[in-house]
Amino acid sequence: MASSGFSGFLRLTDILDDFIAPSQECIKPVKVEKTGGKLGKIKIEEDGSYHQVSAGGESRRLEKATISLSDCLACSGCVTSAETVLIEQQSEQQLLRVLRENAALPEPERRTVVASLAPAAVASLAAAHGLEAAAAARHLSGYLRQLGVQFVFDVGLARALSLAEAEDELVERLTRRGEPDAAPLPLLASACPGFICYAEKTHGKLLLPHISRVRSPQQVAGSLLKRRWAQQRGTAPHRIYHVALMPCFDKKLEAARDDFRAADGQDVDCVITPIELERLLEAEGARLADAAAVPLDRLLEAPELLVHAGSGSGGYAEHVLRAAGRRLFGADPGPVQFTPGRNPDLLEAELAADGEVKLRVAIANGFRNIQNLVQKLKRRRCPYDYVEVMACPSGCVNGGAQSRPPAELDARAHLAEVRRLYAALPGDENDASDAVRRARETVSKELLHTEYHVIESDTGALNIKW
Amino acid sequence: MIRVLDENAMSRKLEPVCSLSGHTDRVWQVAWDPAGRTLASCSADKTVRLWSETGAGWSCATILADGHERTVRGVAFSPSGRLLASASFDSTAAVWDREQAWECAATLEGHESEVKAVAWSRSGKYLATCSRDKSVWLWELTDDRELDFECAAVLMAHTQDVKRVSWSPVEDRLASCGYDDTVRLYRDDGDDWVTGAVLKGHSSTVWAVAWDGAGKRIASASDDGTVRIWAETQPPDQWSCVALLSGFHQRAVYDVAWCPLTGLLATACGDDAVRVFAEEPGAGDGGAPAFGLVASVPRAHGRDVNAVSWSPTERGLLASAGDDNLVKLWRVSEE
Repeated sequence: MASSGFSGFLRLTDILDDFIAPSQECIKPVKVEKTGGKLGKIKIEEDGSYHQVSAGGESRRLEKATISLSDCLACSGCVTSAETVLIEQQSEQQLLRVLRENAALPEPERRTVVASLAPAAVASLAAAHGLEAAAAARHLSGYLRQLGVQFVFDVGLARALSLAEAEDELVERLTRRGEPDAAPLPLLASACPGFICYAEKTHGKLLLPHISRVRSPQQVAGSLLKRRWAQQRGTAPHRIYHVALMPCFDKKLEAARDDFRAADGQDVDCVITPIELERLLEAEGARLADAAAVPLDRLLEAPELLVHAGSGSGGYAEHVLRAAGRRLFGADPGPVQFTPGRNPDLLEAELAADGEVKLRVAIANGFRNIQNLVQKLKRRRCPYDYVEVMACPSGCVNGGAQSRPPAELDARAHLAEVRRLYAALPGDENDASDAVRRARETVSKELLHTEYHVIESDTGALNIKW
Repeated sequence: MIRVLDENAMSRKLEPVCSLSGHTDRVWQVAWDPAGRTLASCSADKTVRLWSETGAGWSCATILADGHERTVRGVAFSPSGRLLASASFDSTAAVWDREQAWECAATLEGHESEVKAVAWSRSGKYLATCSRDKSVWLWELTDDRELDFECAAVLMAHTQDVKRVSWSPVEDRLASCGYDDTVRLYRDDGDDWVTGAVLKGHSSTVWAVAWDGAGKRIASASDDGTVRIWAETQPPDQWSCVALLSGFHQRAVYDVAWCPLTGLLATACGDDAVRVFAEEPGAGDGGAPAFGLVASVPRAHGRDVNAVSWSPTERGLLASAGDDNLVKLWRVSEE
């Protein structure tokens, strides 16, 4: 059921379970500064604050323990993990609040609000409003500026960096295959937070070594904006508020990860999605086409709009197959033909050179295919070198928070239209090659890579419903 | 309203055939192989037992141990009778192979929590499992020799624990039921499996669901003490409740079985009784079906009766399983 905004994965792994288990404690350890000495008493003052009264009679006000969104993410034993609690910090209402408060400040104190647009989300809005994708992007740009956003960027440059890093990672793993301590194959794409959450929570030890360490385009955009772009403008990172338009709610959880927080704040402050944007438009009785069509800004001299060839999830499998093929075997098959496997959400492609198959890649969308992939990995019978793993059937164009089809259209026809619009976005990688090269030279690897964490689950017997 | 019934006034009798002991904890389910010669039972004692009839009567032929780490909650034979699937609280389903002396040939992992039931589709192509994780999974047998299963679909329609899955006997259409008080139906729409109808009406957990022999109606058994009969009023997805069996059961109804040979309905109840109902066609309002109680055994088991299952080949032969660790066989006398 896409109505909840999340991929099926997060609904399955109980993160969003509304059932409140009796006497199950929050297992997030809260750091408490303990003063030495004998135990005192806790006293509640008239104003409701808690004071610890030590044996000697000194009174000390106690801090309230706080649990943040990222704490909830990392913990699997929460008393209530209703999705409203988790995403309240990142709704379209929150964005409006931030923009309003920002506008009310005197200009020198205002933060610079920037937006990154994912092409899958843009294509979805385009389809819902009967616009071509590039036009929809410009109307979105106009609409967001109306609301108070100062700069609107496409994530194309960020994705180009992700793809380049993924390509390097695969080439490295292939080159070192068979060596002791070599990182294992297949390499699994890291751009889908639904898959990452599932892997961390359910199959940590098995899957994490296989998952690419490259940050997703959303997070690379965050790194670029808050570190590189901010620096060029002479703005301190904490003075930038970065909102990303993404196809699903899982991206909100990704943005909130501790791994993507620096001392001065998250790299991505807020993720909003097409269904939330639709709510904003509806509340004003506005249509997307009513907003002025304003060209997007160009991040670090990248083209205004850039989409990569291949799947509507970013074209990972396509890119790495061609790039690794070129670099390792001197063979470039041109645009890749994927053949469907057991079901339409499993697609496979090979690269042959010298009469042999040298590389095998796959696109695995949706839970059933990821299950089968996990089983193959467990038995060490996985035939692929790289798998583009996405939690949603049909990939990001069908993300959990994409716009609903207009009433007359059936879901399948609508999805085909979103795909068409995505593919029609401008995508000449040559346009971007200089910008990509410069960005790679000036951005540290740390900002393009990340780590994952096995999450121990703590389901008590009290939870069992017979 | 609980009707007080006189056992002697019922038109038929449920005669005990034998009582099979061996399990060391409550028996959760019983299932017949298609030839009607082997009866499988599964238990909280983590084993599956296979019972068959020899000259000396029914006895335990095989014990399938070491397949599961926790309670085995459900069992089902494949349509060919060669494979037996078991569902366990250890979050897995296992598949046992008669041709390999009942070796555990495959373990299906993936569910997040206790697996409550297994069921094979009529075509033998799919194995369905359901779990406390609210999902129903369909597995496809991809290699007959290696017994490789692949996940063909993950259906997340229920909002709570799913207790049972049951396939139509005439086509590959699936029903499931659970803690969210509903019965849900699924079918293959070409690209993927989709949810068809949602049957609402019970006021509490639906423990079991069973199809009639023609695949046109469904019986559901609930914690609310009733059994509901549903019929498809408008294919493919319009169903409605056409009969309500209420006032017969004093506690939760844990299982219902609909015999394809005789049309009799058997129920397993938390009041320790096994009951048999027969249909009186057109006897209800406006020609709707009505069911009358024709036989019952008030203390069929020493405690809750968890399951009932009709023999697929012998008319009137019924197996039951109870919290008293016993498997029992009964025969319904002819009219």
